[in-house]
Amino acid sequence: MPRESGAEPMSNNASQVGAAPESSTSESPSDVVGARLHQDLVSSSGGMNRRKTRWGLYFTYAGLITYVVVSLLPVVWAVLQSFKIPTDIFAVPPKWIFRPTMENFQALFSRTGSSFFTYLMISVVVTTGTVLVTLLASLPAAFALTFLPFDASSGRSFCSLPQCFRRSCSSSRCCCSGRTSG
Amino acid sequence: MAATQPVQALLERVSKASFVETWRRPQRRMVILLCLPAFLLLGVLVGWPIVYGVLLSLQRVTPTAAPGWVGFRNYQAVLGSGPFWQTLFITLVFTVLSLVIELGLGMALALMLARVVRGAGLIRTLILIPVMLTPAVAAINFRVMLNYDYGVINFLLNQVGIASQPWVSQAGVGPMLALILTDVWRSTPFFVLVLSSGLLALPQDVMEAADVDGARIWRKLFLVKIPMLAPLLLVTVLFRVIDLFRTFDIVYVLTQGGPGTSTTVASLRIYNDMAVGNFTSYAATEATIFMVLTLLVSIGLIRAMKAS
Repeated sequence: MPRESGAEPMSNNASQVGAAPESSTSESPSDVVGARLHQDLVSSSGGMNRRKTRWGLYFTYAGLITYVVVSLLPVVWAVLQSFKIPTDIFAVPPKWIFRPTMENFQALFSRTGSSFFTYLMISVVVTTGTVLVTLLASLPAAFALTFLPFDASSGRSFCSLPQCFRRSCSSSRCCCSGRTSG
Repeated sequence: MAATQPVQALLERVSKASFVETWRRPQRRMVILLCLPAFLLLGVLVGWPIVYGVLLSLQRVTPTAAPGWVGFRNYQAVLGSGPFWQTLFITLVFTVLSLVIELGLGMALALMLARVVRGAGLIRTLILIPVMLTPAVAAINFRVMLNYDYGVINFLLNQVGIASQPWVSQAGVGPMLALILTDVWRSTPFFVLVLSSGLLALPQDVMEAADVDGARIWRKLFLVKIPMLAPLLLVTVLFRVIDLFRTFDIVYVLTQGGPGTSTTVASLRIYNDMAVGNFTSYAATEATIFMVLTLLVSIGLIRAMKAS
């Protein structure tokens, strides 16, 4: 019964994670965090074998952080490129250390040199227009289908008409997820 | 009896909810009126283009001559052409490989994320960053990074002792790998987001029951968590399959379907036939066939979803 044995290992687990390299704050996490953590550990490995669980948590953090680093590399690289002069951008081998320049940003934001603001405005107009039109069309329909009494099987969900004919779309979560007999 | 029952039910339903009777009740009339704008918008923006495309596929449209009806001759031509089937095969390979990698990676990350408490929010935010980039921008970024000479990916490969790879410039598995890499990088966070919220929503008492029964991690994963997540998994897969089927921007920016036609996916071929080749009705035919295929796949997945 992992729930019953909860009080004792709780402090242990909390301090172990406090010593983990990723935790930036303090050695003594608050009780809430400790309790949640304990519940986490218990529910993820049955509360058995604490040592194994601790290593499991380290590996979990290691895996997550590896993925985050790898997946952020392209973004970081793009940001670095934006501070380079052309010769540095196309340098072989690629330069990680270079003299940063603000030229690219100056060129982008200068009112004479580029049409960046024009493009930005076009994006804003398109986005606003799309949202407005969509809202105007869908708000009344959403209101009607949600609040007005209506035979659910004849129109609650447009997403799968064949199912509506089978009176199966009165499920609450998704129109496709459940079948209810009429 | 078993055969006539659905028919009877259908007839009963149709007569009960007939339009006229619905219209007579003021409140129901209100429902119809309120839904009208949405239906009109969908009809104009979704319905009409589909109908127009199908009509185009039944005609012969050339820049010079007047259009004329040709029946199903376009379909004969498209279905009989090898390159079209090759395109479909390439699309299928891209879709299946990307989907499997994204699903596996996304599931693993979601499970990991569900285990940690400290920093989970921060990690989730960081994982989600690639989704926020425009696909075309992400593809351009990857094209620069995958460059043979000055690309940073080849540089990193050299650092760990692997020779530079001609990613998108030479026929072989390279271009397809580059596309899959880009899409996996961009779309895995979607799976992480959906699946980790799904994992959080799993009823806790079932998990505790599994604990009490002494289930170990893997048994719990495959016998409790994944079956309970099955509907959510299938919805996510459905969205991704449709999305991957019609992938255009990544391919257009990264490989332009090349080298040769080795990475020409269906939507790129349709675009090329339409905008470059000016084969309007041929492209419309391809689009129609492709739409039907996508529909069939979607219906199959929806059926699987209902069965689960």
